[in-house]
Amino acid sequence: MKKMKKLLFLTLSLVMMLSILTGCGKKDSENVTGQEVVTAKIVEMDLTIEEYAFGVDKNQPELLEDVNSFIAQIKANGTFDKICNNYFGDGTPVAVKSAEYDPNKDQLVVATNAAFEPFEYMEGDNYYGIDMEIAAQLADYLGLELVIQNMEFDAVCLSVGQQKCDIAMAGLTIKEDRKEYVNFSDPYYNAAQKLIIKSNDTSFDDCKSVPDIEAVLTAKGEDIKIGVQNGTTGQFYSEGDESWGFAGFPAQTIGYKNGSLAVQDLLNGNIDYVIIDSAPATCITESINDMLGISDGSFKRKVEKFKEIFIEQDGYKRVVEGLKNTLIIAIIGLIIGILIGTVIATVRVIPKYKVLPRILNGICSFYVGLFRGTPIVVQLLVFYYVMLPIMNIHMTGVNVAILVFGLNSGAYISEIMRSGIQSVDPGQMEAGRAVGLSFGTTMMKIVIPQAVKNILPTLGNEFIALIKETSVVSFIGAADLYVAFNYIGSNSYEFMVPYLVMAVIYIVLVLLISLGIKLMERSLRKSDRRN
Amino acid sequence: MIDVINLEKTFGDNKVLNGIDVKIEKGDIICVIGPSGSGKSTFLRCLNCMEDPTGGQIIFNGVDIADPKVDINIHRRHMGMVFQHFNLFNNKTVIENIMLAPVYVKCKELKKTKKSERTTTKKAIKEEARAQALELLERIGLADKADVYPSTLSGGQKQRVAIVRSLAMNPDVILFDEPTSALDPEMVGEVLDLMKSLAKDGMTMIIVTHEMGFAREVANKVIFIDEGQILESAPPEEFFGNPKNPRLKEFLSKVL
Repeated sequence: MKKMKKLLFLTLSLVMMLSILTGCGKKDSENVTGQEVVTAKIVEMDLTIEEYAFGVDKNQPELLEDVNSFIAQIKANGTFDKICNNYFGDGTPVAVKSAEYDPNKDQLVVATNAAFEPFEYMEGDNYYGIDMEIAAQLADYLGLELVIQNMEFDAVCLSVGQQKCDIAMAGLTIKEDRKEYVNFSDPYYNAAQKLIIKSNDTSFDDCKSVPDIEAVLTAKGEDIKIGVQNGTTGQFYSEGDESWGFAGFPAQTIGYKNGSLAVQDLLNGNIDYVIIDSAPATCITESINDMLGISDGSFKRKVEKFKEIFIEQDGYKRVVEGLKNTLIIAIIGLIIGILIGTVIATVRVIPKYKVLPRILNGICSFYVGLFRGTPIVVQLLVFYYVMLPIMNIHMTGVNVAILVFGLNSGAYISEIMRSGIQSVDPGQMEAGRAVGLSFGTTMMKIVIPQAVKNILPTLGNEFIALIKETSVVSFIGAADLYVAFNYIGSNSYEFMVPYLVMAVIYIVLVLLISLGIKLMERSLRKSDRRN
Repeated sequence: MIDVINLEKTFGDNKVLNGIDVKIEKGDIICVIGPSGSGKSTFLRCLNCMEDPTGGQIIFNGVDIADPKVDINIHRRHMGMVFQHFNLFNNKTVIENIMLAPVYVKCKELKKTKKSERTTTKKAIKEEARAQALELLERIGLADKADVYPSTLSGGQKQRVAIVRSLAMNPDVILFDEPTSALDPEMVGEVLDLMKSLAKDGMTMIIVTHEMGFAREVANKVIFIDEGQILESAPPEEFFGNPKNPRLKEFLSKVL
């Protein structure tokens, strides 16, 4: 009978999964035969343009000439595209090292603010970024040794103006007020924002210029939603930002983790427009439209795309790694939790005639209150970004996650364990004490084994909750299952299949755990059996 | 062997024991009777400090075990206790119930002695304890139940196992806290028979009971406690035949 039930449950869940899958496929094929497929399209006009250039010392006009001819050269021979590909495409960023500043040597001193990925940023002692790689090649070209001076962005132009540095390379937008300090080189990079709309949207067909588009967007009022990528120029442009000179729109701005999620949401009908950087805008719309437009149903295409990344581009390695991390965090976390929980629960049931147990009890209450009173995400963030730097300890994200999940579940398990201990007949403790065993020994040998048996189902629940909660560890850079599938999703601009597969993996994990708990319960219950 | 001097116990404002003095000699079989709520169970539980006395002394083998500084666990090993509700360890089999404490205590002693001076091993201790436990089970006719869990035993069987569990530590005295009160009437006999046979072997026993017949037959001293005080203490013939205290007379007229 029981087996029947289990089978029934399994088949039901499988049928549900399948119906979700086929349901998606059906809708798409209907689209093909019935109505026109809605795709995403880009309004081919640069909403805002920023030109990046290098700022050269005004007293070195020969250097400006050299820089301009160097820019022309790397643009012509493809070096610049290759460097950009390291950050926007499938290339690998190259580390750039800075020499010690020495006034007696022939050096090129570059001022930058290494907090502007992907143009300049640091990892360890190395500099990375488009500007930094160009700087390295420029120094070679000039036959000088490269020295990079990292400073506040406000100080970059000033330090060149004061001749402390030769050149500012910091993703510098050409602006009038900066010309007071530096001579700008020829621009080397154009950053533009583009508007993406649904293919059946005709609102912008008559627009001839950017002000026309802005007028249409403004006229739409507050009822529309504009999707942007968090922290990009598009966001400032949509929301309005004084320092950039953007007026903004009355519409609601919705921030997304990346551009492809925003475009996906546009096609799902949740938002009306997307404003993102032009380079990714092109890639994203092409990839997403590609999958929508095929006649044999897009779901098959999505699965193929998923398979392609999963198998051919080593996506499975990331999934295996993610699964491993998820399990490590949950299992070791649970073990730490059980140890801490048992100790706390024991402390909390010690008779409190004496002072020491009372103090310990106070500490334990505080601990439980602290960890039950804050969300796990907050604990992870505080631990990783506040506590560890203060204590000057270096730990990987996974290790921090293990520790925090252990501490967190310890608080919950202590309460579970306490109820378990209290559910054991006090006569058991008395009998243990009466034969001359100590409180601790009786606890360990008699009471806790019986308590554990009583709380095993609840403990199993805790473990299941733990497995699922680990999906937040990406906040501190630990690569779990979610991170793995998110990687596959953002590489294929397609999240449906990866997220579905992720859900299935979680379901299978939880089913396996419940099965394991059932088996354990059965073996522990042998002392209850009457024969 | 046990000298109780002016024993007092209060729970909050409630004074349960109000100055009890008793002298217990080796081989004594003392029955404690009294109405419910009189403090007789509390008195018994104070004797091995299951309840910490709030006043007075309990001199056991020359040591005042009411002193909180004394390691009570050591002295409890010489003082068996049998409970009304048996309190067998539910997660252990019958034989494990009996072996647990002797094995634990002896292994602990073994750990304390230096490796070169050890005369026995853990394995030997276990085997010895198992043999002793089996012998005890045979004595009560339950050798075939050695490897079952307590939940499969009847009440009478459980209580007899509980009694031999306390015997396994070779105690100087066994405290019985209403050992037959939770039993079906037809099982009372088997437990009392076992206690009688212990008495015959010369075991010192202190028994809180409502079994007047048993007290009259087996005890060499019967104590009547009410409102936390000993009102009468006499050999059974005198206690039952010629009670002096009016409260005891009233009590006996009700129960006999």
